[in-house]
Amino acid sequence: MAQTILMPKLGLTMKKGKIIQWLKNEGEKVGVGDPLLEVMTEKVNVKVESPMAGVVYKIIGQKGVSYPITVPIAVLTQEGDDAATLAAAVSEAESALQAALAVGSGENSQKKEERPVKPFAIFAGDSKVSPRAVKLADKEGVDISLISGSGPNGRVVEEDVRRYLEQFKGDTVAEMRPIDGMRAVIAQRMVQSRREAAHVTLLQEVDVVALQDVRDQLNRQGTERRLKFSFTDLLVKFAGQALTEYPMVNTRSTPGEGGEIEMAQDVNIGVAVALEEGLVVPNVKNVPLLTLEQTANKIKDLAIRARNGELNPEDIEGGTFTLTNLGMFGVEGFTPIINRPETAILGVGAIKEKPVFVKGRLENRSFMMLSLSLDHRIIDGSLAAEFLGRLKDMLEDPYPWFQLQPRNQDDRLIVTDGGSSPHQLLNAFTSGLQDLKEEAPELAIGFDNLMAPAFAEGELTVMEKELMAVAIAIYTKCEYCIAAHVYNAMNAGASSDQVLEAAGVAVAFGGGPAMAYTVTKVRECIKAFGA
Amino acid sequence: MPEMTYSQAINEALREEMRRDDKVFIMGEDVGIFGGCFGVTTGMIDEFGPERVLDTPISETAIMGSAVGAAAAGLRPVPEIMFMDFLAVCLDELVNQAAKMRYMFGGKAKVPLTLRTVLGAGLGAAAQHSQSLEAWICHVPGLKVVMPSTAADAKGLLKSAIRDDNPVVFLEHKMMYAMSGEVPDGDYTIPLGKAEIKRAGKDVTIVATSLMVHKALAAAETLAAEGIEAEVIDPRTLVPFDKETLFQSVEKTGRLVIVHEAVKTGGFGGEIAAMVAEECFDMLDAPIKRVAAPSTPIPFASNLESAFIPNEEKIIEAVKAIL
Repeated sequence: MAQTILMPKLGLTMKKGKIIQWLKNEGEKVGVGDPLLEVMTEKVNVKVESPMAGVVYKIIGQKGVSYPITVPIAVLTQEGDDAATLAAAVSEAESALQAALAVGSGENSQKKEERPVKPFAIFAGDSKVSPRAVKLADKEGVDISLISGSGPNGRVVEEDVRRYLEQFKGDTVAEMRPIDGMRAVIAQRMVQSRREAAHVTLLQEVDVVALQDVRDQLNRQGTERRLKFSFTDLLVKFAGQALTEYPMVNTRSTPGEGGEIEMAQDVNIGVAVALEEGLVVPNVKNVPLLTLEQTANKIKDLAIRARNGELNPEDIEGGTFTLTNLGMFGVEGFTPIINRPETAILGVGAIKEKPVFVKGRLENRSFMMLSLSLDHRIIDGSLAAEFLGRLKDMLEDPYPWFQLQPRNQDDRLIVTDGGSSPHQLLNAFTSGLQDLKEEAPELAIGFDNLMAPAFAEGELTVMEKELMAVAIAIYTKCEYCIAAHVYNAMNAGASSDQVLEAAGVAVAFGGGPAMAYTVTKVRECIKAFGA
Repeated sequence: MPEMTYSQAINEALREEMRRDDKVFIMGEDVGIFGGCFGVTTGMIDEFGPERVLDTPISETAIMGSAVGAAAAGLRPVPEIMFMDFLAVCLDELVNQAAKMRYMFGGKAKVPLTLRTVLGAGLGAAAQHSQSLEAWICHVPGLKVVMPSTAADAKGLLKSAIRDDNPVVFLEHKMMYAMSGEVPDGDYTIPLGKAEIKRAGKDVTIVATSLMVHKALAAAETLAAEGIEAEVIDPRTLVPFDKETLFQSVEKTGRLVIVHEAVKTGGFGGEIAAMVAEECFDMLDAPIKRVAAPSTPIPFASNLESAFIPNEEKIIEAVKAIL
């Protein structure tokens, strides 16, 4: 007899489950208790066993899709089922599934709500309005274009303005809501923190290109590892490391001048979780002792339980530092309020792309703003700056912490055409050379083979050779060569006077044209690369 | 208060003024023994004799010319032109002489004449005997223009006109002569340039002149049954015009309908509309509406004539169009 398999309810709070994979295909035999499919709930992955022996007749639930509990996801068959019975069972199951999905579709999306835009009126000249209505509206300071007219041809007349004014004036009273429950606790704690702690906020921009690379590499590792690490996971882990190095930031304090500083033994990092009715800050205990995956799982578990209202007091208590992330909302930097009795809190901003010069090359890089609020009673500005700097250094070079290597980042280069500033010249030349290595490798390699020994340290120093190159570049009237060799010479330690002396040699041979290059390009390059 | 007809009220005003001031006299075609074309001066020749109730030849030029001369010489003539349409024959005497004399002589000459004449359609008198040409007269500086709509107004305004030292054109509607109304006893006057609110209301102002005042009042009654309260204003004199009463009304109602029997093109309603638009535009809650005759000669056929004359329905329609 045909049997329909439903999305099982695997926990008290489970509302839906995602099919990770079917372990049996259509037409395959199954025995009682054989694993049929794998389902992911908000907390765990579970293998669902077959309730009967038979054959998988029809799989309805798609791999990778979430379904509400108790909707049909497959039909099993036993020997003796006729085609009509099976067809009926499949069609019934499919329509039940469609119905359930139709009901649930509204609450699926966590995306930002699309709000309709009704353009503001700029002038009130677009609709018919009586002079009397205009006068009254002007007197009362009302945008008449917001008023709909009841006069002939929809003209806005005085009466319409009066009705509108009555609607928004006088007896109408805004709804008053009590500050109670969670809001009251938040209010009390925020005000208390502002009163007890001397808040100072330091801002530090962090280049996260490497961090993005590391996260991407980690998330690609091993298909069996399904949890994707978030930036929050990585930041909590790195903050844990930095806090162990700077124990003064990992402290709790009592209020007042005669208070005490508690040098916390554990590093328990709170993660702010926004809820509809407010926010809670459960903390991850002993972050430095956890693997990255354990840290990530713990954060996920705390967030889920926070949203379900299932946090225990010990999840909230004992925090020594807090991380609050507003990056997903596009906020760049902010001034978080310390989660007392802690003495510091780290605000995380959005990742933004910016064009920046990196060693003279224009690159498209990504930055994240860290906002560290600290209790200046306990933590000095310089200490906080050191802590923040340490965090920045780790985040900008995270590879050693995960034993990873940087992947090729050349695609960040912004190739500019035209422009003849020293950096642009240098950039155009070096990036062109890079491209040439792919387009015409023999030519590029040949050039390298020629250049490398010529400029290698020998009886002459690299600097001397580069200065010679500067003079020859001027004589040859090659702007790109001038930029490259002034850059190299100064990198090799040449002073601006030395570069100018080399230029003088060129002028002796080249006369006016060489002088023209010297006073323009050479001097520009010295200025640009000298610092 | 005794009730009398519009015609009787004018007759009484003339008699009272002639008794009061022996410089006052009337003149016109058949005003004597015949009692006037519409019987307004009936019996006056018996009381005042042929010297003060002069029958004239059929020459409007002669009537006006002699009246202007008599007035300049110190009398107070009250000439009658049988139909307003005939003013065209004596406009030079009226427009270039009577209206200008006081100004051109630096105030040393006065022209205290009151020209009575008859306007309006409705009698089947056709294109040459039915026109309402008050706008012509209003356009000439130096002439006052009076258009009474009731017996009481006619008496009080005529007496003021006769006593006025300037030429006044007193316009009577031929369809109102038989209309009765209460008239105060004895000697009373109504100042020129003072409008009267004939009916108070808050939703719309209807300005009407002459016979149209009655049509406007009828329309207002019908509208009141539908909950629309129209205020009906009779300016009574077009020159000088009582702006204050009109503006106050428009300030109250925010809506203005102007009704006159004259054709709309170049009609005095355009002047009233312009005054309001210029001076109290911000009080308007709707466009100004004019109810007037179409710009055509007045037809003889009675069905066409009644289609020509503005009526209650057209006024109601205009009011509703802006409410």
